[in-house]
Amino acid sequence: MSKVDVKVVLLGKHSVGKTCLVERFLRGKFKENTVATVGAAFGAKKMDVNGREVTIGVWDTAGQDRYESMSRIYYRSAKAALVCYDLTDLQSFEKVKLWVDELQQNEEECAIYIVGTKSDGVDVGALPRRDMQEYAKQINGFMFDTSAKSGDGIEEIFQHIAEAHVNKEQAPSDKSGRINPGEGRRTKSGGCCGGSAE
Amino acid sequence: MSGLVDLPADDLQDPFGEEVHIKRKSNATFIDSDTDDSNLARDLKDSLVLDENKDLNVSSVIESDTAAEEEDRRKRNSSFVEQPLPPEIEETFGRKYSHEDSSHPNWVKHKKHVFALSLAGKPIYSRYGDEQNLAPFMGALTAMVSFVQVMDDNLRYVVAGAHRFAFLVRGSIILVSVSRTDEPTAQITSQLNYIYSQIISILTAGVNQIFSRKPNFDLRSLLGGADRFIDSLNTLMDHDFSFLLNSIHCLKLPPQTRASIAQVLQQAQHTDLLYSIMIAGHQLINLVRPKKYVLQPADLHLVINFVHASTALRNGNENWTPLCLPKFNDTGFLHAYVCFIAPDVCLLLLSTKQECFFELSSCKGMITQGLNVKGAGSLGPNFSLMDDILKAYENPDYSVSELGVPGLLHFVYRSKGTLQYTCPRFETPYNTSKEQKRLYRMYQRVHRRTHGLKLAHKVYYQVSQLETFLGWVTAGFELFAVFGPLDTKSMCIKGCNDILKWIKNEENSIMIINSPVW
Repeated sequence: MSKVDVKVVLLGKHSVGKTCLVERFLRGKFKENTVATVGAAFGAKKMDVNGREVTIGVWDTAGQDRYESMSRIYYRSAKAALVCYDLTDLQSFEKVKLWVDELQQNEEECAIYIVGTKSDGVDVGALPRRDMQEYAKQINGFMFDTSAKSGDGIEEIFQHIAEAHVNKEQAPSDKSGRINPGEGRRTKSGGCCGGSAE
Repeated sequence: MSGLVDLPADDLQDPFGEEVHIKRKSNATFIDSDTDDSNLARDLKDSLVLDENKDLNVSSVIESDTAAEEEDRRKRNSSFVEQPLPPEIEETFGRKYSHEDSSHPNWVKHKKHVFALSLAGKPIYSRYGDEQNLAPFMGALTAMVSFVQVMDDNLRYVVAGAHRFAFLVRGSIILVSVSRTDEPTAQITSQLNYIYSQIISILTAGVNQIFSRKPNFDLRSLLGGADRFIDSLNTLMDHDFSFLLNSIHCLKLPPQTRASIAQVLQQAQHTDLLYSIMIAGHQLINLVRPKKYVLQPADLHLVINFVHASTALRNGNENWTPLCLPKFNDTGFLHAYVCFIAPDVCLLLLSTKQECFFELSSCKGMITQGLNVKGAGSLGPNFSLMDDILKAYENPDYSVSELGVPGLLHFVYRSKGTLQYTCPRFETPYNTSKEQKRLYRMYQRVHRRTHGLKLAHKVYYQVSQLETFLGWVTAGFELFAVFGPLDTKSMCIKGCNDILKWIKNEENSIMIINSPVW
């Protein structure tokens, strides 16, 4: 139906910065004073993986509680989920666990990326995040830190998703092109190396 | 020369401004503050008169319950008033007056407060101030409502000096307006109804089930971020005729253009598509619907408010969001594909299916393609339907001078058959927002005179210092026209006939006469 190769969904508590992250990825811009998303917004971007074009469709969902019961519409058959929390408010990680549980129950094939946002606002290295890293390992998820303000880490996540898609497609055994989170497990933490999202 | 004609006594302002009347559903009961046995009335008189130099103090009404709380609140806020918030902190609150509460000197000065609370007294919404900090005040409002409910009756309004407290209980939600805007109570109540519909539109009537299971439920946890929909509705209802007349305002377009747009919308049909709606600003461009399901004006108003209250929808992306249209079905959600196809032109595709985003997205593709075909518009071979829309939106409606009616300053015409209305744009002397608001309030009063339950005049004529009003209501239309203060009655009547003639000629461009269906 659509010309999207990989469906990606962003989940997480309200105000952690999902919309800013998507805005940075799609348009390379940082908007201050973003207003609360209504329902979900869809945007798409073409990425290049070794000369191959991959279209990534991103669903940016609203974080308000009232949408939770309907979130299934948005993450259904997603190949990757960016479950976001705010690095300047580690309390927001609690919600991550709820989302991960729900995804694992309903979308087994969906790769889970646990994404810390607003890394420009804190000393990332000093954060007490051992438990979180353990948790990410345990659920076979990837961990990234990002800053929509500086662009740090954002391109890397989507590049990773796109590459995983291409690798899967080239593997003859699985034509569905889905990412298998069990393979190529990689837990990454700490600051990313300043790739800008041009 | 100047003077009010035909002013029924029951709506006259109380000249003393001190007496308190409680008006209940059964008109028989008036509690007057002068009667000795009426403790509530005396308490109200003490507490509810909102002079600007008096603090709003309702604690006496619910003394026993909240005395401690009240004391606590005062302590908390006394320092607050002395040290106003620095602007940068105020910004982080998001809403303009959110730092105020009932003890704040500015809070009582707002002309029109609107509150929503649960039957159990939990705050849901306040137009000004943070609803959480207003909990004691909301408690007082609940006490007033339940005091009358105990007597098996409903509290409708309370007049306290210049202020009018209007109450409406819908389901498990109490809506209250406290205003000194001189608006007729029936219209305030209708506005409160709209606010209830707005809450339902966000959450569906399922909220009442939540409350019946858990009367103490804090609805704000579900309404998070929805304040701005209600705020924007409140602002709109203070100047938009759509709400007063319960009718739709269409963008003025050449008839051929509107028909072509209807065709473009109709061609982009899909089995899951229920309504296709195109709006420019707050005006309807066109709307395609199933033959059986008329879209009620009240639902369309909520859709338009929804689109405009949320700047997040203008993100350049395609949006997919649940939306309940209470008149259509208040128990479930429709799913709305929302996309701004030009800066102020919005396309909404509503469906009952939650999984058809991409189907509707391709419908949108067809529609934008159709709208951008060169030569399809009325402006020439190099212009498209979209150019027509943008031109019409840039210069909306028409000037009153186009009608060539001597003395005519402004008018509003409502067609009862199509539930649409038309009016010229505001021009001198109504070029300031203050004058526009005054005019709007005058229209509200004239409207009331022609729609009151007891005193509904077919024709109503009123001369005041600044203008002459003529209201004319028939089976087919309603016309409210404003002329200069010196214009004679016969001149005004002739003027009204000329307006009707002009509208008959222009009908096809100012209204949607044949509503397209599929």
